[in-house]
Amino acid sequence: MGDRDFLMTTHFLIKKAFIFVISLTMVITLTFFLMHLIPGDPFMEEQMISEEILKAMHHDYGLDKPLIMQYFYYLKGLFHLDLGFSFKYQGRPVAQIISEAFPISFALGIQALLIALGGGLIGGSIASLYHRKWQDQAILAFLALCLSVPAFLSATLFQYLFAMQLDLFPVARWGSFSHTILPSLALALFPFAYLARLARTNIIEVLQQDYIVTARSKGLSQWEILYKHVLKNALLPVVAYLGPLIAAVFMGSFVIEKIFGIPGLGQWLVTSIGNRDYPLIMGLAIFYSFLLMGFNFLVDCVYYLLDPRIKKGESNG
Amino acid sequence: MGKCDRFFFFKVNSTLVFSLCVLSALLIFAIAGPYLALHSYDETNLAFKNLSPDSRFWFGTDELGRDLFTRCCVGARISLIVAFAATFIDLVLGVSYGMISGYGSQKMDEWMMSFIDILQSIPYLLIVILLIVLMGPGLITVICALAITGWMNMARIVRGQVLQLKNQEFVIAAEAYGASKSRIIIRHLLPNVRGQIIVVLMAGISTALFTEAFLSFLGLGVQAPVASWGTLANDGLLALRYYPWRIFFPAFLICLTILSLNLIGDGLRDLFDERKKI
Amino acid sequence: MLKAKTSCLLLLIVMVFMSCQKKEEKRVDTLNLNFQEGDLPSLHPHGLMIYLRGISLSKNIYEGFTRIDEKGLPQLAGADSIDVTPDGLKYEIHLRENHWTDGSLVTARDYENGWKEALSPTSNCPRADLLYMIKNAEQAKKGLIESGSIGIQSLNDQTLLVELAHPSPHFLELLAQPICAPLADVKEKEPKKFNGPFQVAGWKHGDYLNLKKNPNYWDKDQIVLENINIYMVQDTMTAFTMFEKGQIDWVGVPLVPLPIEIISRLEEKKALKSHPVDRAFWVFLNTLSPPLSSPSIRQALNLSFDRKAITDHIFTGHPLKKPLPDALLSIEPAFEIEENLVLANQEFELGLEELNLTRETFPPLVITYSQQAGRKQVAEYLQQVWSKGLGIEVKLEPQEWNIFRVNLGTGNYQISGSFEAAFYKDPLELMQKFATLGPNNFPQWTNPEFIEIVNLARNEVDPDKRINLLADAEQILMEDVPFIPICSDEFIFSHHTDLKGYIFDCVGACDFSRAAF
Repeated sequence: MGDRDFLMTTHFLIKKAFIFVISLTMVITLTFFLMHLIPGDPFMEEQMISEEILKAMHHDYGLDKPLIMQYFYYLKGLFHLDLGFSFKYQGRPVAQIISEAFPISFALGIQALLIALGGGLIGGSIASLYHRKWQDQAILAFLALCLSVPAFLSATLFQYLFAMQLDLFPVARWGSFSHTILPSLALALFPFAYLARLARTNIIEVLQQDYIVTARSKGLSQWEILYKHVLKNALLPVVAYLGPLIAAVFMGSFVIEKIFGIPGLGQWLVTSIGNRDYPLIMGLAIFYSFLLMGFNFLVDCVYYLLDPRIKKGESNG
Repeated sequence: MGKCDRFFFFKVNSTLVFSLCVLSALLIFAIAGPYLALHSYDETNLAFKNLSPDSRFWFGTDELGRDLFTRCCVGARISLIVAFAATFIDLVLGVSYGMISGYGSQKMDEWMMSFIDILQSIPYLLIVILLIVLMGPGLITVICALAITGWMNMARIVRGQVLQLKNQEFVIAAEAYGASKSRIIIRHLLPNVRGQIIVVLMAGISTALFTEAFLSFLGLGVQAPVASWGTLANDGLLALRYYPWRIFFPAFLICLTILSLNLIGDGLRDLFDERKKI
Repeated sequence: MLKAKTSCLLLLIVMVFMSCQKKEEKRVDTLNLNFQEGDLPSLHPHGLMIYLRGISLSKNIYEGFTRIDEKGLPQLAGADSIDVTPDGLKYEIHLRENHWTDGSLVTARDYENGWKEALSPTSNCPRADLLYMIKNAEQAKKGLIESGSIGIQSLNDQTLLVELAHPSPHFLELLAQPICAPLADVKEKEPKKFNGPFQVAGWKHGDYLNLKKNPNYWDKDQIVLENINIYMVQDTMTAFTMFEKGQIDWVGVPLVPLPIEIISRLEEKKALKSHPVDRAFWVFLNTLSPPLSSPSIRQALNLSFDRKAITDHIFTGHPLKKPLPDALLSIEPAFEIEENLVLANQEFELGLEELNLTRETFPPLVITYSQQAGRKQVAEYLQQVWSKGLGIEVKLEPQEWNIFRVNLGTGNYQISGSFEAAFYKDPLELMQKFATLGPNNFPQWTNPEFIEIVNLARNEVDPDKRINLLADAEQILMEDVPFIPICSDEFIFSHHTDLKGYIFDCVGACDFSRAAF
């Protein structure tokens, strides 16, 4: 039995790795050609730049070679694990830009995730317990409110109320723990509401199942039932949403980071495209790909852990 | 227990009815509002800029002196269209993709999920700019841009639910009975995924409205002077401190729409559950 | 269970309150600034040239031969004296004794190497064209000549000889720009040594830039500030909030562009200051795009609206009723733009006749704009006035900035507005763009008379004749209307009440080195 599981796992992992490599290659290829397809120039500035200077810069960066050649040249660099240098931030390696900004977005993201996850599960559980009473409706309304406030508004309001008027937290920038509170709250608001609603819906459905009635007749309290039986089953949709959520949150929310002046990855995502900074765009896409596919893989593993009935390696129908 | 049920039925119905009323009011606002209003939505008059709400301008004016009430009415049209388009895309594309992926063979599931992964990894802005170049700005282009990635969360969550459901007894039993795949999907899987679908739908509408505002800001969406609630909120953001009505009204309308849609969704779902029980 | 939960909650609340704000004392030897447009890609002086905040920064960390004062006139700085030959072609520059941050002497070779590096055909210095007034500079940059024949020669450590291709009254102004800064090591992409009033003490990309006083600077006794902290908060409202809380000392262009809502509030508080800059907002009309090929149609668009409405409500500055602001060309033109709807409609009728169109068959016009501040409102305003005043259909098309900029250069637009800035107080700098077809001639406009006058002016030595020629050229611009002048710009800003000693030049960059509280 142990050997079979082991074989299945290695086979499983190899298959996953294979799919990952193919997906990554697709992302690289599509992004590369899409990036060059849209009009724009990496060396555009407000001021007018003379033609020969522009040509010299294009030549310097190999942009006057045919596109296919540039593509293979880039792939070759990737094989040597070289993400290249940014066009706009000359002399700065793309890897350095990402490695400087990512830890900050990561720290912000982790905090926001913990708040969203913790708050969401607790909120969803409480709401489900009061199902069919007015408290449930009230919580639902509150969650709907959280879902309908855009990030730029919540961030601005938090900043205005708590930092500007009440002076409780710093207005902007990054550094100490108190710098992290407002941004992570603003970032967590939408996912918190989303997760709470997902959890609540599933918990309510699970609570209506027969085996719960049995457990209740055995004399277990609401909370014990919740904890022992319900949560495992109810967590599945939460986990499904978590995969892309984590990846997105770790890439930094552009709006939150902009409003709070946080030097994370989010600003690079948007400005690199506006600047047509090709190496940086590619580097970020690859990085995001790793994060996204990595977390989705973890999510699939967690599925299996949560509900062993979702068998791996079995075809259906 | 019977008395409580009837009481709750009435309660659910009243929330449902109330939300439906709100939604209808918004629809009337959108369709008839511009004709009832005193001013047109694009009439600039710099002498009247940034006025607070009064009897002449019910919602106040914006930075070019245009009446915000009429602009919110016009914005309602755009935003409601976007909301319904997002709902449609989510339901049609997202649910069916998730169903097929979850219920199909594992190989198909892996490739279908990889496809979503690939599409989500490509920088969205690049796709958006390409769309602008190919199709020109406009509402249709915005809806296409939303259609490209808007359904993916729905697909993922539906797929997760289906993965869990398909190994449960009632599905296996139905398969043993020889029921066709589509029958199983419609009669057994869909009802159990309904709850999640509604949640994801509501969040999806919200995201769609704000993505539309962001896209319009980039130049993709509706052309000025036409506006949507999202773009009105965007425009009013800088004025939050000194002319708060400019962002309050569009944001309030967005909240109201999503809230009422939420309550309608929940109410309908509870209604079906009641029926199922009875 | 309950106990664990409540103690967790209590711990969280305590943590939150412990990290709450403490008031920080204002240190009078530190200046706090903010770059709202984000971090600079590099501190290399050639790269700093293309950003206004970059030029402002370079005034603090580099010392060129001259520095610009408040009136826009160059004053000697890194140079002790400059001798000019009577024909205006040869400049002999004598260096003042100044040191790099590592103690070594700043030599003429450092300047020579820096300028020749900018003019090297393989370097990517974006504004190398500013140096084209030097003999053989343009040819060297294009790779036609060896760098040795460029008219820059260091006679000894303390003397630099520069030969110009044609006489220019603005060479001394150019010497103050970062492109003429000395380079200690030409190979470095990021300079490590600075010769200005301040040096770079710390730089965390995208977060902050710290400058501290340079002890090796020749004029260090005049420098009062010990530190300059530059933050990179990119949100305008956040930066303004930081200003209100005293965390930054300056708000307003060129560092933090202010939206019009904030400006009106600051005006009420009487905290607003302004400084004229040599920038103007022009709405370019693509002369190759029918129906704009007719000068009468263009003139109709030009005359049909009130510029004051724009400068009162959308942009800051003054209405511009002729192509160039007075600061650049103060000669009164023969006639100014008369904003008169009747006249405009008359011109419009003429144009319609010329093109064989009627108001019904007149095609809709398209105004493209980018998402920068105020552009959308100006476009909306123009759409309103033109459709109401002339009875035509006008559409708006927002474009992402990069695409917008590329389209301007390739002529792929119909009507587009943009700010134009001048580095020197020389009308020729802006006007010569329209003398040749190329990516800098946005309206794609050719007018043989104009081209001839510009060429004459370029080679004219006598300053009076030159100015008159340029005034004639401006006249042609007014009659043919390749672009519609809207307003001349004015930088609006506000700062800490005690701050003084900053020097604003007319390019729009600010020199903080001599600032104090």
